[in-house]
Amino acid sequence: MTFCTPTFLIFLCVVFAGYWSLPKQPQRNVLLVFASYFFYGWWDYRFCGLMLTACVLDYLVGRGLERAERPAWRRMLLLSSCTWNLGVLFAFKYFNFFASNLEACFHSLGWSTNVVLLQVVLPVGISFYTFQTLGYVFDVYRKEVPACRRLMDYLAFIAFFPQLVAGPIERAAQILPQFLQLRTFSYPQAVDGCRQILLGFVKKVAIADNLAIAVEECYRSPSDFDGPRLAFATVCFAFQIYCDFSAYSDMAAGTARLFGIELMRNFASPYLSRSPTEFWRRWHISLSTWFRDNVYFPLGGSRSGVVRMAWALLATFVVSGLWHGAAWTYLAWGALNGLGVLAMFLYSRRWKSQAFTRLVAADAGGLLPQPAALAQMLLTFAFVCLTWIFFRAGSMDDAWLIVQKISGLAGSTGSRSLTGYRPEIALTLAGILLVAEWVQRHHPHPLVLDGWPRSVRWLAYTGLIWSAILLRPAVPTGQFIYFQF
Amino acid sequence: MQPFLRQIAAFLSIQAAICIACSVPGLANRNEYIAGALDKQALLREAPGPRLILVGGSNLAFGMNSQQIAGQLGYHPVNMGLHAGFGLAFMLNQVARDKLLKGDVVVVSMEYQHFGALPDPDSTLVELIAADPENVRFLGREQVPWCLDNGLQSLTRAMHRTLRRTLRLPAGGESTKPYSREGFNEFGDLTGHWDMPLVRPFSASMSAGLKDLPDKSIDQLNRFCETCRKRGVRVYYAFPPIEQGFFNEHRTVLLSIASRIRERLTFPILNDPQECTFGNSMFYDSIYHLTAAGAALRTSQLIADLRAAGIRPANPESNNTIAKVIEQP
Repeated sequence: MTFCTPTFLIFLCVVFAGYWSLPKQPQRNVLLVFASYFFYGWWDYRFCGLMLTACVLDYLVGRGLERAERPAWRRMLLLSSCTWNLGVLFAFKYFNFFASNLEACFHSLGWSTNVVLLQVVLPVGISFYTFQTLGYVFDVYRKEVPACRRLMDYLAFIAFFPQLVAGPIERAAQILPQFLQLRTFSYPQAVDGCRQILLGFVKKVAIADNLAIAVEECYRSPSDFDGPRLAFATVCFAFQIYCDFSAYSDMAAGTARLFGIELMRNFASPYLSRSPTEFWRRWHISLSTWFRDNVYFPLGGSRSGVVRMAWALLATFVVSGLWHGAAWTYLAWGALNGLGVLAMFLYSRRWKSQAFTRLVAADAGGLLPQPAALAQMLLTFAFVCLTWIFFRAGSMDDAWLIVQKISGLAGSTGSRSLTGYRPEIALTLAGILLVAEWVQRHHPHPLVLDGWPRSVRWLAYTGLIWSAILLRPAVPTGQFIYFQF
Repeated sequence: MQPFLRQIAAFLSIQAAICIACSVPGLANRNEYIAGALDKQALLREAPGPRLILVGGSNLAFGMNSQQIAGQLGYHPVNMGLHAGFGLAFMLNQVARDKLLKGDVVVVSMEYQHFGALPDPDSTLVELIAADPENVRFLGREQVPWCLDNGLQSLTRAMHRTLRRTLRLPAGGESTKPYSREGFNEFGDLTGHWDMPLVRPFSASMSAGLKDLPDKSIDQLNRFCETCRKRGVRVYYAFPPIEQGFFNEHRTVLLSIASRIRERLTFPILNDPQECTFGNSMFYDSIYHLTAAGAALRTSQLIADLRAAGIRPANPESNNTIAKVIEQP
């Protein structure tokens, strides 16, 4: 039951009707809990118990942290939550990766081992809800938020179905109060929510799903393709992952707004960024701020000197890469991004000058970007595409081969053409999306059409819906990319 | 809330009208391969008894010569085989939940992919239901969520089809020979490919979904058999024909599935997987789709297997009736 299915539409209508027919927020939260667990169980009912256990445990830990005075007791509670949550995550997601690498290490030393690997299915959304519930515990431990009193309110906060399986990873301070206050229906909020859902639908169905076909063809066997085609596929992937993931976030946010809940903005036109640092303030904002507050700052942040800051930065990005998946390619992706952000920081620190400040601040106010700003955006995009190679490649060898071919170091071997679906239409649409994001950059999303006559707006919405359905590939890829994390 | 609900209702009504306009040209009057399902369902309801009903996917559609069955066994053949993508549950329910007559014989022959991880149906099932909503009653319980989740695929295909028709563009692959409704004969055999050159390489890879997890499917077959027995219908299982090279490549998995079927199936099995392998030249465009010569050979084997299992020719009167039908121009 993904957001783009008739099943979800039926489900949403039923839950929406039930939600607003209940007079009190606690009753609505109970409905949301049952609806959310039904939604999650539709994927795989076997893991509902796992999520419920994590939620109940952290609810109790939160209550305990609020009552506990002694620091040792508080640390023990925090440790128990971390152990359970990270332990479960490790078992399902990382055990086989570390075990197989350890075995390879032993073999290289000449030791014969037989490591048992786990045959487990990764519960959908585990990385997201684990970090959300863990983030709550950290916030309560730091006394930044009070512990939640009612279990049902807490369950609703963690399991809220629009953001359950692929984020945004919400912070308790921002969203928990919304579950505690009585929400009143807001017409502008609901209408804008519907627009966001539509935007997400178009991005996913018309753009991401179409680009996925070309990307899969090239990245499945990169040795068959030459550098220019691999570069093309990489650019396609850059837009595929953006449109796919931001589409989910848009639909999640739009759906939440139908229930009077405001989720945090997860993407802020990241491909308009002018530096890697800015990119990471615009891309997957919920995750990057989570890592900033719960990993980077505790490691020292920027308060303890350049060396310590550099180490904390790299460690945070590497762990962020690992969060995405148990593979060396994700670690490499994280490390590359960390190096990019670090380099930008050192560059700006070393050569800080008025001219530099003017250059970096090169605008963003007119209809068209300034040439300097455009150049920065293109350079940043190129850097990000380089990192996406590692994110998408099936192995480090494939990633390195792709880099070599694109850079010309591996010659021009591989002359296979892209067969089947042609991604040019989808790439054109992605370009139009980018332009729309630039033009509407002062709005939370590009589909803010206030001021247009209703008939024109409805014509635009209808055109978008049916264009997306018409452009939908015959064999769609189905799930959103971030479901695998 | 009221203004919002009114606006949303009005907007969704417009979209629903567009949706209906795109989907109304249903399968019933079209010449598509999948539309053959409607004809087969009509055949099942109208064919006189006793019938020999063949249940399975396209291995039966492509791989049977029902005239041989009619001539040698005297049963009226009803070939329900069409498309494995309908899913095991749907194919069985088409027969179990529709007209079965006492004295009928059912032969089930399922592609090996059905004994994988219970594969979902594909979008053609949704299209069939959209064209004839009565087909909803044949859905398996686990297929209902899939159909709801994948309704958009069917809508996409319907839109493409409507657009092609409006712009007078050539029809898509669904109704090109031999994959067309016209390609089926009076018994439900697909014969449109009999005079066509072989297609190489094979049109689709069949290795996907071939996993050694047969129990759920076998249990479904057993429940189907039980339903048929209660209505005085005999049920047999026959392994499907398969291309020799593919069989050799996946021998271990296929024999493992066959072994599991033998252990758990509660009705008679007519043959062994090894007996159903044929050379590459006997297949039209996939590892299951036999040519005319292959279909004749496979049918002869099936008739011999049925006789060995105790199936005797039906009464002379029905034999002559069918023979007269065949002889008519």
